[in-house]
Amino acid sequence: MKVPPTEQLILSLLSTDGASYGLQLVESSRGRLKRGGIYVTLGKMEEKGLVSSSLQADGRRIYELRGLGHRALAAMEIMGDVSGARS
Amino acid sequence: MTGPIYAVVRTLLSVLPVDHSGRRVFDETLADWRREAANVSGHLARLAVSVRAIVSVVRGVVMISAREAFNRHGLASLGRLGAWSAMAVLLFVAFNFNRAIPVQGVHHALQRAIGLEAIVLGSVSWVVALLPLLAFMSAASGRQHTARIPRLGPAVVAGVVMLGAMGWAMPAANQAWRETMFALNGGTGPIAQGINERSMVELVGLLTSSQFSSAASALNLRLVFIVAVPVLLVLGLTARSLGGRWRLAASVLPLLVFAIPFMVRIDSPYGHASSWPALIAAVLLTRAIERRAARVTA
Repeated sequence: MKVPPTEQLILSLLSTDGASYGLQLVESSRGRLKRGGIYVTLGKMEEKGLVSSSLQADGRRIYELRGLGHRALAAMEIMGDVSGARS
Repeated sequence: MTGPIYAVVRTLLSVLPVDHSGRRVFDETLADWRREAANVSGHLARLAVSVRAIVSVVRGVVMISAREAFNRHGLASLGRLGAWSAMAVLLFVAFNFNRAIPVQGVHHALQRAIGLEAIVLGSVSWVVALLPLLAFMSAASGRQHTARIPRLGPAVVAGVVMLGAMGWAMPAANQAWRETMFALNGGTGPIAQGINERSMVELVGLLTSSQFSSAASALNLRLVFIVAVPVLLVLGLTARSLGGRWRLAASVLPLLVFAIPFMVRIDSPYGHASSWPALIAAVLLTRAIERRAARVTA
């Protein structure tokens, strides 16, 4: 399965920061993720099974890594892609 | 506190034809907006939150549209519309009997062939005028779609193409056709543009001149066509997703309602006044049929 750079970055951020809202991911990406667009990417990642989300009372969703996301991240670490995604 | 801008954007988003995943993107973006607006005070800070949120919404709409337009179903919808349009041009060229014009000879009138290029140029405005119907027919015909197919992406692409067609391509083709005819009659040099030969930017410029009335009418008519094509494409895709008598109703009734201004004469004052209400009524009628069909089927 191919994981595009934006999705790699999100996997990496979720791994280090833990479960996060979309806006938190945008803020911690230091401008590499964009508001609005991030939810399209997170939706695609959820369809692929990389992340899961739960709806909160205020209408926002909190995202966390799923098993496949952990495995993709581990594969990226072996390939040495994680540092590139984070920098 | 979110305010009136939020309410307007939320209403606009609610009418966009997106699937479940697209709706989720909008819901989350609006939830972020509400949360940020609740954490700031002062008009300027609230305005900044609104501007940021609108940029987010626009980015979301663009990304969803791109995803929908360039997947298999979206490309199929656009491909069908392209094929139907190409077929309309071919039919117009094949069955256009005005292949020659009378020109004054030395002693008597002569018939002079106008050539394929002029026939094609003359077909542009006819085909553009037929595009709302072609969009609907291309989307509504064929086997029933059982799965929910993307509608926003193809509609946005069709709208952008229509903006180019009505804004610039059609006026340029009209002017080229007139100059070709002028040259065939022995004229030389450029001829003055009529209102239908002006680009939309030129028409906007004319709104502050003495030609306000004709420029406003021409602009209104072009905007109706630019909006009608993506809207009728969506209505056609909706009709195609229905079955039995619901499909028949959604294929006939909205088209009849939208045709009213054309039957009145679209370029008359009554035609202008009724064009937008007719388009809105066609949308509401389709939504009512879709909801009724879903209730009965459930």
